[in-house]
Amino acid sequence: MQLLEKNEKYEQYYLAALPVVTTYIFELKKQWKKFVIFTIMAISFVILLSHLPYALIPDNPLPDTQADYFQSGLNFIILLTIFGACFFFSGIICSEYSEKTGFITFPIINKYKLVVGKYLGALTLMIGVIAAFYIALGVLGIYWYGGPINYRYYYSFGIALLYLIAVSSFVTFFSSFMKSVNMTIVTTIMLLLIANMIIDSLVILLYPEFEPIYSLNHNSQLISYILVEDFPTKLEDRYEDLEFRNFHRRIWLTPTIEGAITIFLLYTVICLIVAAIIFKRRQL
Amino acid sequence: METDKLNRIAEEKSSIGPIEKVGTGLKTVMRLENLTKKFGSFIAVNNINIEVYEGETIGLVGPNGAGKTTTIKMIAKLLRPTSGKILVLNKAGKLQALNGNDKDLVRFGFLIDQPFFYDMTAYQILRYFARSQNYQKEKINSRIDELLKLFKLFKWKHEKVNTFSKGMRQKMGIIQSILVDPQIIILDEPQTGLDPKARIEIRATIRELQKLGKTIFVASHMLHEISEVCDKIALINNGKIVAFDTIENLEKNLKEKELHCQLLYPIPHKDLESTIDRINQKLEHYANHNIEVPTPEHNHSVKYNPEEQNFTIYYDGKRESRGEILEILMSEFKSNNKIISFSQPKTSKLEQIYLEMILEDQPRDGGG
Amino acid sequence: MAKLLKRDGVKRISLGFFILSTILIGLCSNSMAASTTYEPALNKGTVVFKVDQYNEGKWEDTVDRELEPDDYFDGDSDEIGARSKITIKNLAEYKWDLYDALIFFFDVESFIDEDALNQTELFYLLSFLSKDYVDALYPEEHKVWEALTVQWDFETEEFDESPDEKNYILPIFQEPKYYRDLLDDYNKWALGLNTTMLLLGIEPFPILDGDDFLWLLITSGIFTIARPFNSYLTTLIDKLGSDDAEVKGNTLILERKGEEEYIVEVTFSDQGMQSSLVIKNDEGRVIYEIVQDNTDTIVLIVSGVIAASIAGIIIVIMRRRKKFKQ
Ligand SMILES: Nc1ncnc2c1ncn2[C@@H]1O[C@H](COP(=O)(O)OP(=O)(O)OP(=O)(O)O)[C@@H](O)[C@H]1O
Ligand SMILES: [Mg+2]
Repeated sequence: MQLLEKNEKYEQYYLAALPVVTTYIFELKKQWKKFVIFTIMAISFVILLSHLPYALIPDNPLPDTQADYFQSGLNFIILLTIFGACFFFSGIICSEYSEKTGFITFPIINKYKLVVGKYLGALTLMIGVIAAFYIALGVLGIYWYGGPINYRYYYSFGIALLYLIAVSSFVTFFSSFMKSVNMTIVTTIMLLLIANMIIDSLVILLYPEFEPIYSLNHNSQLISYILVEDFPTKLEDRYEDLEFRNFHRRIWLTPTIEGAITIFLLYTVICLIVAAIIFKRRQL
Repeated sequence: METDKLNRIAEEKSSIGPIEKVGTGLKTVMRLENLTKKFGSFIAVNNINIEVYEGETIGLVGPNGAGKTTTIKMIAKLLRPTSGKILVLNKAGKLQALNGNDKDLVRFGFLIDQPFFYDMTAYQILRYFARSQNYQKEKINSRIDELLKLFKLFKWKHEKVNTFSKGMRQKMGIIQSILVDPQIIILDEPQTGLDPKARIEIRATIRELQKLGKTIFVASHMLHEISEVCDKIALINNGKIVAFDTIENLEKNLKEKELHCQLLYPIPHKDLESTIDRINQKLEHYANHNIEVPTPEHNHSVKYNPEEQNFTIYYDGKRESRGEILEILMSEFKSNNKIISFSQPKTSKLEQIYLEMILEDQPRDGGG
Repeated sequence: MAKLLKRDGVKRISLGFFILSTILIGLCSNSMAASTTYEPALNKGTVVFKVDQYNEGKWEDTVDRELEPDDYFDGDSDEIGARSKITIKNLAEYKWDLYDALIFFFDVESFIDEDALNQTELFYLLSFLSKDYVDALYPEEHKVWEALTVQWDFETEEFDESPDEKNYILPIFQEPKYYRDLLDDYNKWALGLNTTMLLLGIEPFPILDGDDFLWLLITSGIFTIARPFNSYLTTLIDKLGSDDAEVKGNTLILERKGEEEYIVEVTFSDQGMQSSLVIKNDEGRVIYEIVQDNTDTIVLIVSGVIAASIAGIIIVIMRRRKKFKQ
């Protein structure tokens, strides 16, 4: 009797999870090619930017330490994350509407389950891409510098993942109200790359002393800056003041660790909640 | 009985409460109650009431922009109704309003617009659809093969759906909608983009499904495509249900407004135009002003068929008009020709009903 | 779905790769116009050395009673298991004159004890040592490949993250005979200075012969040679006229006399760096040994494993595809 009840409960969970799981697996298959392309791209860019310049140009000096090497190599991860997230997540909600696919088949299945499955699938693949980047760079770090991998490199990976989740949630949010996949890709890339920069420099122009803590760009600097041996604890160590003649400009090197993590989580939570609300209200 | 039906049509037009089929013992599987959808101030679907019984095949027929797709999207929960309710049978055998918690409803199959599908192979997509709806794992492959073979898509089982032609994709859409053996199947324009053979196949499929006791709800703007498979037709225009009845009843309704008049000799070619103009003028009074006769050369309610030397006359359907029309015609052809028969047709083109029903309803003015 | 990523995109990406790699190859091809006879074998990367053997008693009896290995090789080089590390950052062509050699090889700055000298003495000495002065007298320049490195001294524990020495330079003279030229110049310079030094009552700079210089090079830790190694070493010994040295393959064998006679064998790696240094007594017993610690194998294993797993995944997918197609 109890067993039967248990079975029933199990059955219920199974049924509830089934759409999520199948969609997850389907998403993996669906975006597999993109994953391969991005992984190859990630590894090629690591080799292209962090290996060949040192291997082929004898003059070009290696950074002093493995950590320095990682730090310079990780600059590209931000671009990779933005592009990857835009390509993997742009279709998450809006393709269902523009291609009239998923929901047609599932009026009975909760549509959130499909999106959650898709989100997790895309996220898994993007984590794979980022991991491929880190592994490639890590192997090269060992190749040039030997020895174990600097432990802060793992922290950097963790922060990169948080950043990825924040960016992908941002893209998901756009996907929830945009009309077409391509428009979403273009808009989010523009916003994340160009608009962010413009806003940041505007704010810096207007309030030269103000730290742009709200900015994803600013906070993403932590991914590479965490590799600095003595992470700055004092405010004045986190920026550099540039002075040309009478022009003064403050360049922020890094956010604080807690600050960046908080902002990433905030972006994630807010974007996902708003996306969920828009998605609930959205009609075909 | 007949007046009953007419009354019902009248009822629907004035949008009075749900239709009850008292004492038939049939189970309702879906009921649309005062369903209305507005886009801004534009009323796309206006107070629709339809009751669908188990095992019925219902055709939702209307011209482009009538609101068919809008209605179906509301059933699929892709649009929210502005007002009104959609009630659907659940597993417990009761009617349940569509809301957030729909996992207990009976299985649905939908085909809406033209689905584009994901960039995957036919097999992968169908397998995914079946699995996520918890279709028995062991049966999936044979079911997919069976349907692909039925629609002659088996050759392309492992091809990307993106490379499919429009018709092939439409077939995929139909396969997808019946894949998991749903109890209620809702098809929006299933014949679009299909060749004649495939259209016939679809009708055959629908008949098969009928045999299995499925409830089918088909939307189309091509009445003749679905009229022979449907038990009932709901004519929709400008968002309103103009008529909802069996085909025979609808036909009967129209037959009464058509007359055939056979001449002994053909009208000489030189006189043709003037004669028809004259008759038109004389019959002006009796004409059914709602009908626009679909022939380019005549914009009136009299149509002359030169090969068979006969007239088709559309009139207002009144009994006394018939005699008067005959008198007018007799006097017209008294001298140089002869009327050898004057009758009401036994059958009428359903297309005509369709046209008439739609035209009866005054076109809406701009904003609704 | 993501039409931007279709074939067109792939084409464009590969075109980009192609252009970039052409640029890179172009850049590197003209960067190392090598000397006629010798070419540098040194590559960028990291090399770890380890103190493999050290017999303290024998060292004192045979090599040096007062000075321990760490006085020669720095750091904790007097402890077995201590490791040192050097990362070669780049390789570029420069020209060295005597002044550079004074600083890097002969380490003359360490001879100057600022506390022991008064102002005028110090000024006098420093003016002899100034670049302008040395360059004016000894302007001859010698072509050299210079490797910029960072370096960690011998240590028994894990290496610190930041190196003990940044911008540490390894010179590879393009011709072995330049060593001779520099030695001659140095001796001339030292002689000129030593009379003055004696007047001032300061200990004079040592005058070195070929064997001394060779030992100085070896203990400096920066002695690196060019390919072909054997010819380079043979020519070097020949030019320096060192009688106590001989060359066997890539190994330089020195006979030296400390407390007693002993033999030093320095083997050069395929990069031209000193990969091992063995000090033996004349019976052939090892007193002290530094070897290269091979971390390359780890790299090979790691990358091998990764490559294999990627290949495995691809193969599995391919198989699956085929299965589907059937
Ligand atoms: N999202 C929308 N916003 C505004 N108006 C809409 C929207 N969707 C549909 N309409 C309008 O609603 C009306 C009904 O459209 P619907 O798609 O239901 O027609 P239909 O009966 O399916 O026609 P067809 O035979 O061409 O498919 C049309 O006039 C259309 O312009
Ligand atoms: Mg439609």
